[in-house]
Amino acid sequence: MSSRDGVLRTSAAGEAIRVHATLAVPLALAAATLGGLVAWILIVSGLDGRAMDDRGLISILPPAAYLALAVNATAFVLSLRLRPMPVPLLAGELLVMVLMLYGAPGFFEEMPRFVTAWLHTGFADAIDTTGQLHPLRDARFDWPAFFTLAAFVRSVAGVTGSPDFLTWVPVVQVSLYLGPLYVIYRSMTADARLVWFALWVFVLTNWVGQDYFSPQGLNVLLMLAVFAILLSAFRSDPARVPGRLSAVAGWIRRRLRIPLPRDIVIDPSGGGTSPSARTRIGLMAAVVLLVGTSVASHQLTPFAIVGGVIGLVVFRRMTMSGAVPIMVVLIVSWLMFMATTFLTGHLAGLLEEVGRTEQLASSAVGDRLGGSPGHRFIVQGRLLFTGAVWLFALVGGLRRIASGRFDLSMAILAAAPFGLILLQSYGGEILLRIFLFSLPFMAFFVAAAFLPSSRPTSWGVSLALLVVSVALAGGFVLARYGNEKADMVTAAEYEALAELAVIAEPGDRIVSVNHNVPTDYFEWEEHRFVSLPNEFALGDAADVIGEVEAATPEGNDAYIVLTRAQQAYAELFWNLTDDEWTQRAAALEAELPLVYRNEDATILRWSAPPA
Amino acid sequence: MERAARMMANVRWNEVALATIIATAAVLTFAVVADNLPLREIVILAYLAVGPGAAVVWLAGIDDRALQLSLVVPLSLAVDALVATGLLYAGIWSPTLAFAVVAAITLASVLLGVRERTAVVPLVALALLPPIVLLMGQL
Repeated sequence: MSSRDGVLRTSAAGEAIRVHATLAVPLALAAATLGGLVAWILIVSGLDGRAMDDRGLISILPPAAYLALAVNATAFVLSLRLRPMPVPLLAGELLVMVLMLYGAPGFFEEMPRFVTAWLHTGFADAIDTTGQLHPLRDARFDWPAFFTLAAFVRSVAGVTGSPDFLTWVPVVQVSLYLGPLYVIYRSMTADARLVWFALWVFVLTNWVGQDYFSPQGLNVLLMLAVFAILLSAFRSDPARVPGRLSAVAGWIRRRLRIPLPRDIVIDPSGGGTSPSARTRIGLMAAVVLLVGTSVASHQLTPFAIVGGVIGLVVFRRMTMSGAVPIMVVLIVSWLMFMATTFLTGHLAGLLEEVGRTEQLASSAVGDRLGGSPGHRFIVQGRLLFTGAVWLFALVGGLRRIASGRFDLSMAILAAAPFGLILLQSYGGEILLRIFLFSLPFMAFFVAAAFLPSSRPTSWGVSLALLVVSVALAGGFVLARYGNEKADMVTAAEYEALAELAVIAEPGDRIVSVNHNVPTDYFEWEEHRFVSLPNEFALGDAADVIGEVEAATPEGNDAYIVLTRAQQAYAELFWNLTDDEWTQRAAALEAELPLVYRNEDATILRWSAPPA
Repeated sequence: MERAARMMANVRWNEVALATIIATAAVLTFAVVADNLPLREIVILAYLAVGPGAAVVWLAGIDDRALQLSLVVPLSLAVDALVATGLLYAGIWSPTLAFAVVAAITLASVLLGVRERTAVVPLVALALLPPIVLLMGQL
């Protein structure tokens, strides 16, 4: 009989008081969460994006906004103390935090952010318009499933023509990640506090911004779904630490006087399932379906998935060893038969990159440390944030071992993406991708650093959870929105490019002085896009015009686009001052006729001189 | 007692099957008839995001509620993506046809997943014919 029943027997008045007291705390926490959300929206929607400097969002975010984040962090940490666990409240608090952190730009920016998301929409629209793929123009068409999915859904639902949906894609996508993540964490521990706090940590640390409208955004969801199935339905039973490792633990216990327990259990049982034979077949088919979609939609994620699965099989943490050959066959078949255009042009280069980790270090870290002072500060902040996440994860793993729990499956999946480092630099972005693919599992260990065992949460631990939550939320805002001045797209920029789409004829060249302009969104299939970053950065208008002339076929014109976002990009990444930008733009304007101008964009036309 | 439990289980299965079939029929009809209604986008998006995955989850016989819920959207998107990509590679780019194929896969998964068929399910399947015919008329 529950304690609530016991209260019911005392007196009607007593019951009323106790029930009120029981509900009062969750209701108060829910109200605080909603209050924090409303405050956040009011504060953020009043921001002036144009006032941002080269440090991005943190340069205009007032202290009250951080206070709103702290209110919601406090409500979440207090909710973790309630018994029984208030699952709907915790889920609501998580989703509110997702909306606050990942939806922030949508409350004050005029248009969806980030040019690559616009480009991907352009790809989808091109498929819908032409009914064809274009791998010769862009290698991403060799992995087209994401773009065809987008073209299909946008077309059949009748939502083509508007980019507004891009704003909320990160919010929706990260919310969807939480489902399979919950299953993964639950399969590793029976401690519900650890499960929910790990979800919270994931939301607060996923700063790399790959959840925009992109193949990798979808693929993280597919990857998490695959591992949710494998870890909950095909996981090996808990096991004792084998003899050699046990001897090492004994040595540590004796020599270093660290109180390791004598019995350390590998993957202690959580809340997994025991499916029937029929369900196991169905789940295997689901894994093949998910991996097949991943193989057809992204170059890198299938390798991250198969790397993790191989690790689980090698260390005998998974019973479905047949998954490995199936996945390998899928990947190899796609590369050999479907991605031939890309491989033909890039195979030699790809093979050269394999194992060249020194090049990776320079392209992934060294090159990113350049730029304006504010941008360098942001990059250093990102490195610190990333290092702190990995360090806390290490501490969490060790604390779990010290409490007798060796979460080997999670350790394998957290470590496996680092194997990608041997493959290629991926345009200097491989470290970002490694962080992305390992974060779901790292977040579990970060949470475990504070909740390593199922002992009741003391107030000291709750305070630590609150402090780390607020610190991570602040770090998230700094790291994720550090390039926001360049990532923001204004209505004036959009209007200029829409006008250009009307002016330009099929076959005309659309020239940008760096890639940070969403020209590709408009009628991608009809135009050719040329980016001339080096010529413009070096400041010689004659060189720019010479390149434009060389890139433009006879009978066509070229349009040179200069926008606010491109200038912001040049400031952040090239350390180009306002004066330097203005001089370069004026030099071009002196040579070429003006076609269009508004507050954020200038469009110039180059035409072949008369014969 | 056991017999009653079995009956309850059957009712639940058939109710889910019925709900999916009716939803598919409704969405197909809506897609064709309600061409300019604002709700059309939301209804179709919701169906594509949930319907096929729910049917696959149902066919696989997954009992764990958390796993069910977490797989519905990823599996739906996987089915949608592979159907659309398959048609594109086959040289038949038609979002309407892709929608019909996704709906057919959803229905087939539901029907295959029904453990103990009753007369209700085939009858409802027959009820799907008009919207399918309507849809085919749009191709």
